[in-house]
Amino acid sequence: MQTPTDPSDMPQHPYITGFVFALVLTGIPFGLVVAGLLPRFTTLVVIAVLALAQVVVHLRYFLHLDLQSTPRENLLALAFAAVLICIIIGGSLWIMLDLNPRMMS
Amino acid sequence: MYLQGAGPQRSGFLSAFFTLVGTHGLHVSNGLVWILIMSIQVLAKGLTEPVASRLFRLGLFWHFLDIVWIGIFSMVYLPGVL
Repeated sequence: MQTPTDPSDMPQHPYITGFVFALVLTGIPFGLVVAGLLPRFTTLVVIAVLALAQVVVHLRYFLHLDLQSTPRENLLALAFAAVLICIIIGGSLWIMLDLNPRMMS
Repeated sequence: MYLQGAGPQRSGFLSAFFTLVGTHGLHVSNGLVWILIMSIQVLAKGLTEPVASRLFRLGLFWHFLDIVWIGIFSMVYLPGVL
């Protein structure tokens, strides 16, 4: 796995690299929630951003989907899936947040 | 939780919680059984073409599952504990 032209001392195995990233990206939100260092809204934003980052880490290091080697139609399918997920989750949240005050009686 | 009266029928949140966590749990358990079976197959038959193909599919299944898990702990557990 180690090529003579690669001077990097980072672990060459993508699963180990990915695992370390995933550990850090999981540890930080859990740590923030347990320690309660930041205000609630900021913590939620950090959780969301790191979760998105971790999804990218999983896609790249575990599923070997990256911008260089993945065929274009596969990237397109992934992007479309992401759009659908945003619509479903965002739309559900919108409906629930909008409907909630009108359901209290 | 169920025995304390906080079952899936009690509220919309709990319905969603039991559905989400329940189905994820079932998928993970299923995946663990599959991992066990694959370990035995690799040891017994070696990396033959059908075994390698099943291992690849198991990998896809398992990694998609843990992507869902990122969503679950970020959107259900952590905000709940906050």
